[in-house]
Amino acid sequence: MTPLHDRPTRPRRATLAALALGLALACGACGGGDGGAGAGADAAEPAVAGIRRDPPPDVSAVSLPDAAAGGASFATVAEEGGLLLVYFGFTNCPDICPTTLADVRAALAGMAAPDAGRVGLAMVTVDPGRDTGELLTGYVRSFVADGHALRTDDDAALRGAATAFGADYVVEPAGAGEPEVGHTSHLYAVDDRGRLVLQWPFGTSPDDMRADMEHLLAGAPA
Amino acid sequence: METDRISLRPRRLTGAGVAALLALGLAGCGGDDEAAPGGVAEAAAAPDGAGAPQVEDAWARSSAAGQTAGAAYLVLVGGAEDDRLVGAAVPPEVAASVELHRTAAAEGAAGATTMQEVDGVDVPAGATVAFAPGGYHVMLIGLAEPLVAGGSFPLDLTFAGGAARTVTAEVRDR
Repeated sequence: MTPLHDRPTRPRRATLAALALGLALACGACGGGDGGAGAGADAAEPAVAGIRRDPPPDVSAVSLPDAAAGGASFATVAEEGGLLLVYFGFTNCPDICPTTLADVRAALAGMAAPDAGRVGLAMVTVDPGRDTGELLTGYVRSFVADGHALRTDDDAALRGAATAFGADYVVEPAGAGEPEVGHTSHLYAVDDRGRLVLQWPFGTSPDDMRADMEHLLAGAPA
Repeated sequence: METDRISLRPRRLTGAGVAALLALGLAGCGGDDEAAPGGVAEAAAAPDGAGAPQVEDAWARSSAAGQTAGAAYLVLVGGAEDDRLVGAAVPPEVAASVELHRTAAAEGAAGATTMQEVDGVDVPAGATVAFAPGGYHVMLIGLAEPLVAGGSFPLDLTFAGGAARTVTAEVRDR
């Protein structure tokens, strides 16, 4: 892992451009979803607010210990007919993570109970050094009652999981202070075949998330 | 020091759009551009008199179980002269310390965001500077106890021009 350099107050523009280019290449054909891109899309399929990856990555092989289930292995695949929301974050995150998870909670609260019941949430901590299983479990379940708290001390496993989703993270020890943690701030939606079917950037409104989820649940994969 | 927020509302994004969005690590503020009905617009009596920035709609998100760092957000309205927010404080029964932070792109991790502490935020005369999720926030470090929706706490703000404001931050779920 390349160590972070001295951090300027403002990100260097050239670095941002490089990141943008690198991510564009890594993302491949990340396209906005307007119905036509995926296999089997029908002509009347409404647009979704989230981002569809084409082809949808297969994350069915990603499996991490679920601290909320005593460390039992949990594969990032939704229950049959459902969706699994996956988020990479950490509990000491004051802004991005609580905002996203609160938005998830609000989105689910706006859905009819049967639909909401088909959606699961798994949070993967990118900061296992500070996020104990107990801490992570309590944190996730503050947002979704039966949320999964995925945590591993095996950095290779964690890195592999993040990469499978197209997510990145960095944890930099910061001298005398707390570590500085960066992580991709997207929220991912996985179907019951382990396909990453949709993802939402940070800031996606709960209404958009809800509408997208209802759309995905209604068009249960054929 | 950048003071303007880039407000984006992603709908359909091209690959390049996604890349740019992720690289910048910024995103539109979550959903409701709430003109919060219960928003607080206080101008506590400032020692320096007129002309200093005002603070509106201070709020903090309720904290999750085990969350030790909280975030407060607010809107700064510039006064008659350019100024700069240089300090913030809360009582120790709220948090151990307070820092000003900005969410930004993380160097060393593609498409990732992280926080950077800032030593101040410019508030140009007459300008509106919003602290909102994904942008600037007042980081409450070492929460003494959970922040529970419906509660509130005093937030002291100090400006380079000499003004001091104390506002009441409401705790909300969103």
